[in-house]
Amino acid sequence: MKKILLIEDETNQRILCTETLEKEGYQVIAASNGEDGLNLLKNNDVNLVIVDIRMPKMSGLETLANILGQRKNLPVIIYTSYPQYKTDFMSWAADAYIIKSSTGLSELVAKVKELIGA
Amino acid sequence: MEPKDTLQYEIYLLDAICRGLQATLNVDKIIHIVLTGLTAGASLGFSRAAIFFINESGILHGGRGIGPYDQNEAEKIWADLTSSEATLEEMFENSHRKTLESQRFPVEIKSVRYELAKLPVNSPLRKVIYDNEIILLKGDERFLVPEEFHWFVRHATQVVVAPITISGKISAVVFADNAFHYKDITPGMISFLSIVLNHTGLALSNAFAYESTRHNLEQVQQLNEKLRQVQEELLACERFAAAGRISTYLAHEIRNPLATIGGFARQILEIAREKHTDPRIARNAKIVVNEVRRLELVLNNLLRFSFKQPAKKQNIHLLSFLNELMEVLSISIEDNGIHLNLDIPQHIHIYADSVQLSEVFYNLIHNAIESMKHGDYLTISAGEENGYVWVEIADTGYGIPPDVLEQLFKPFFTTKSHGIGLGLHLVKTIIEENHGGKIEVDSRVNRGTKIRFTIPKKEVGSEKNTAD
Repeated sequence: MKKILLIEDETNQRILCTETLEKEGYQVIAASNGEDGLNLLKNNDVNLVIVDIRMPKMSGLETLANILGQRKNLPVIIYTSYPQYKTDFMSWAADAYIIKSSTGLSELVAKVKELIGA
Repeated sequence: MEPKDTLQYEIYLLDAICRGLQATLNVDKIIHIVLTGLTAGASLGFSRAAIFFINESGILHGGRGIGPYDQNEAEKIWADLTSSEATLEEMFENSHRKTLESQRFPVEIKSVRYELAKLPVNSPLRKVIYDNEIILLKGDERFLVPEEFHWFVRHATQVVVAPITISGKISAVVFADNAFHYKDITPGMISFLSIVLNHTGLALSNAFAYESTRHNLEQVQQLNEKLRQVQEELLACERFAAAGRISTYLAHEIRNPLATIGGFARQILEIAREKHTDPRIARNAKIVVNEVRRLELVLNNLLRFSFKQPAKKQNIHLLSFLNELMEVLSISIEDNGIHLNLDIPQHIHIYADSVQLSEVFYNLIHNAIESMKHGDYLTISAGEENGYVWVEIADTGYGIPPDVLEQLFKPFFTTKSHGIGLGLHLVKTIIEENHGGKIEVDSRVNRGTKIRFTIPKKEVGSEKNTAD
């Protein structure tokens, strides 16, 4: 079973994403901030990371930099409600940039499937 | 008046003129006082006086003149003057004096223009203008002045021409004559004229200095006023920008929970369908999904959210795309009693950004639903033509009046009590700017509206990055 690390500070969004991805047959481990996320990454064999951009403590882009420092080829999806960071060159290091909305979740699922398969 | 009284009268006149000149800073009034004073004792003094100014380009041009134009006017004016009981001061104050003045003489004077560069070397006017002398021209000498002045000097037998120095520069010339009474111009009258014109020069210097100071002051005041306006505009801009920042902030804050609500509602909808529970659960979840989508649309329009982003184009299977979209929209279509007809051929793919395309359809279909009544038809059809995919959304609703049609795509134009009028503007931007397509509207009042847009098909040779 493919394992996905979800770093998302908003509880409800975290539950929603986790449940949706689990329903699609993925195993999801979740963290509410960048630091916890990086710790989970160290101790788990993760296939893909989904990260929000605006988070307390460590920002999403900083987290992204650290993730890629640990696992250079790991697929990463930025999932956020802020479109403006799309032009930030750090975000280009991610494999996808998806805008959060009520329909964004199906886009997210489709992207996950595309990147790591079902 | 007897000759022995002449000196006394001249002194009285001089005193009155000087006091009049000291009391004003108004150029017109100064000229009026001088010319009135010079011609006041008409039967013993000058019958006419006229002033000409020298402008910066060296043109001598008519200013003002007082006196009769011909013999008839002369007799009438002098009769009026004799019978008038007005004092000199009252005459300086003007009002009734006008009725005594010839209208023709001043008008003719005003029209005189003479270029000083053309002045002959031997012209007596040179002495006046360049040597600051007063000259008396008698008999035929009168016609030594330029031709432009002949029309009036010919009525007199003697003419005095004198300069006026204003702020250290000879800037005006006065002609005074003995027209129609033909009495000799005496050395005493010339001295009198000289004294009056010295005072006039001083008075005019003051008046022009005052004028220019006032003009400068006015400019400063105007600049101040402009500055104040700019400051106000700046403040208004700042307030507007602040309001913009607040609404952007709020919109973002609302987007997040909205995404969560909508996402959960979709989950509930799916679960309710799978488990075949009470059908009201699915229906109600669908309502939540639909309403959330509508709110997101409003926020997106407000933030001009989607067209700030470059279109992420991919080939989209139009029929499945619309079926999924209609899943959500079907409630408001059914609730409004509208018959939906999807006429999309299976093979049609549209090369577009899926988020932006759904915004286009949501905006257009919502508008169509709002313009229809129970029992109306909504038809969505599509096809291919000359390298383009066309989509047509036709309703049998109220239609759009021609005056509204013209403004349909303008930002912030709306006929609705709700909404901010960005929807169709956004649609046009997405179709035309982001996708290189074209959108057209055809509408008849009470017959319905057809909106047709075209989007270029994917170019051959750009096969990589195909997402479907």
